[in-house]
Amino acid sequence: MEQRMILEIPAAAENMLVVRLTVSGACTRLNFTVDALEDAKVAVAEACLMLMQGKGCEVLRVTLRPSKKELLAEVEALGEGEPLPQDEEYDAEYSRLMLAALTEELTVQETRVTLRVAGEI
Amino acid sequence: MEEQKKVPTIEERLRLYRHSGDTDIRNQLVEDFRPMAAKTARKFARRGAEFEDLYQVALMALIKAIDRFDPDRDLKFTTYAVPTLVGEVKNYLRDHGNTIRLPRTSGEMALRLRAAESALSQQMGRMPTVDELAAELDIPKERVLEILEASNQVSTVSLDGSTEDEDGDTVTSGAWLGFEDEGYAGVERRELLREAMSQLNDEERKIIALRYFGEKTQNETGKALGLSQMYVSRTERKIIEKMRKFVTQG
Repeated sequence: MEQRMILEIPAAAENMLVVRLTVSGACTRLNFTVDALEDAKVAVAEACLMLMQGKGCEVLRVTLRPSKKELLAEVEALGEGEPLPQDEEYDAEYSRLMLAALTEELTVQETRVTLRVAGEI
Repeated sequence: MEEQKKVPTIEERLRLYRHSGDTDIRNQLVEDFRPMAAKTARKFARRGAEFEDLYQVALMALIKAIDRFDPDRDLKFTTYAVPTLVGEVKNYLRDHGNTIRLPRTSGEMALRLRAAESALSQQMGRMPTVDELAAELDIPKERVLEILEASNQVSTVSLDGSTEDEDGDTVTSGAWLGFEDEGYAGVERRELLREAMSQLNDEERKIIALRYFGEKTQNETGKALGLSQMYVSRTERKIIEKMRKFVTQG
């Protein structure tokens, strides 16, 4: 049976701790090394922050699919509300390049980011 | 009419530097991309790694990227530079993970965790997993995660950041730390710290006093003691290692 964990949280920077801990939990089950686990947390949280800059993102749905020695993560922006206050320091290009450097596979769409991180680096 | 002088674009300056090797142009390019280095350091300031150290690593990586970038290739500089910066910072974390300074508020468990991480990684030739750390310390996995997460939270808050006290006056975040140390745990920690400090020589004590009690940066500490920032940074790491050994091994 496919292992799947789904987390839906209000799109807010202060909820990133929840995302990071959930990713930690999922990676621990896969026996990730500490460095790989930290990278996975940075990557998924960055994907969340990326989508939060998009128009009307109210809720983030994070789906984690742990498989053999790697973690597949899909982050979706849900909602049609008012745009969130923009982070002045946010730089979409930087985020995308940083994510690419941390992941084995990355797809960035307007309201969805999917990525794959390996358990040992 | 006087013709307005055109300011060269970043791409033009990169090309100019590539062909002339003029360090003034390179310095300007470093200034232009300094925020990118700062951002990378912030993103990876984790597990007790000091922002300042990571920032230095990111800046060195930036210089390397500027030196190696070939503007004649069909590639944007940032596309080339960001992976370089991320890679160098990650290498630094991997190589120096065992000697990185721990935030003083992370407590004894964080010290034990780091010591176990160091011992296991030497033993196994790779970084340990959370499972292995939990088994080594005989604590639940969740506790290991909590400690790791707590280290992250502590290290991303600047002690120099301003906040308000009960009277509405602006004080640094560091000013609140004294309150957290109250109680028996605080007394024990201070006693342990006092004993650990007694293992240091005069110069080491002065460095620690300025850095951690005077809340001075490495640069300011160096200036006050007539030492270079690099020397302060190196010595500080050695001191922390010495104190950590004392605290964990007695």
